[in-house]
Amino acid sequence: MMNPYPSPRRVVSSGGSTSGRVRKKYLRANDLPFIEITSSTSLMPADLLAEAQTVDPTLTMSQVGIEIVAIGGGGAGGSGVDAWGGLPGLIATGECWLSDLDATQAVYIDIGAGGVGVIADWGRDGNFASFFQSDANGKTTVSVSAAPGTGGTNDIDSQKYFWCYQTTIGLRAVDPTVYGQLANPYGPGLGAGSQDHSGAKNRGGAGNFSMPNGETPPGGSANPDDFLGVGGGGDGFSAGAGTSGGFPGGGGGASAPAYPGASGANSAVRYRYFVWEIVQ
Amino acid sequence: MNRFFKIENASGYVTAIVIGSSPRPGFLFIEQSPDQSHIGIGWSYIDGVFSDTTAAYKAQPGNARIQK
Repeated sequence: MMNPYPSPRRVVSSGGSTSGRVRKKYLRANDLPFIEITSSTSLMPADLLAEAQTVDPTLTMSQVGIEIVAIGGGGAGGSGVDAWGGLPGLIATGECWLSDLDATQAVYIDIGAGGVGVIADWGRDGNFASFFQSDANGKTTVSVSAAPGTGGTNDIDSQKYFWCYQTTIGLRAVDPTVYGQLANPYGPGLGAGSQDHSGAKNRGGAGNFSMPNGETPPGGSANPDDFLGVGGGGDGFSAGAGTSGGFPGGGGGASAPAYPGASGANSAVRYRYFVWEIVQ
Repeated sequence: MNRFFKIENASGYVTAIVIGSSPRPGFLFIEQSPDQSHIGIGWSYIDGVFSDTTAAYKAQPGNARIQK
């Protein structure tokens, strides 16, 4: 009988024994479309295989792949008359075969905290989210690591510097006539500034939407059914406290001087399993 | 969800603040209390005491951009 889950190494080789078309099929392990980790943990490769085997107990390490997405923690908003919102956490993706992991070593998942705001000061940065393993010799087998958002500042020069910094590591600059500000259209939203200058100088009172079409509203949480879903940025407020960034990864809104900037959202790591399935 | 300091045993530096914790070789996790919200990456935890060593931490290669 033909192996229903051919090794991809055999599929791409010529003259192999596998015949028929193949497709990437995602497994609903534990009857879920994906697994979301919101608290730091460690897992053995056997734990991962056992999850995949809730779909088919005959699956082996070399047949099961894992897709990983990490979303960094959002930066907190600044606090001040002219404070700026926190920048969003960045997104990293990757995949590997369970057989690429070292079966004797743990996979470590770090869930970085969002940044916290401080009265009359810059917001603190968020923290990295990562999915990481090294083998018994210390060599990395898999590493998916998402950088956090930086905290909102109280001066435009510093804020510009952080925009540039994050742009080089994954934040995207979009058409300013469409979004009014630098944003990450496929990532978490950017916290808004404390001054309500919508569309001008990136200091809008409303937090940046996390998706180009506004699927996640300012400060809102991601759709829990969306593997790539992210949080919206929090609103800024010129006379009080801004609102926190939406989970995961949203930047916190800026606050008036007497209030701490709003918190950035915590990070998250999601993963799902797949096999290569013979279609015919 | 509780926040924890992730502390590198070898150096004593706080290297991250994470949500939740689980045992991990080479690292110590200590829960962050509300009065420790000012303590962040680059502080040191040595002999049970946190101290602000962010200037020294930033001076290390790769850590320069740690903001606050």
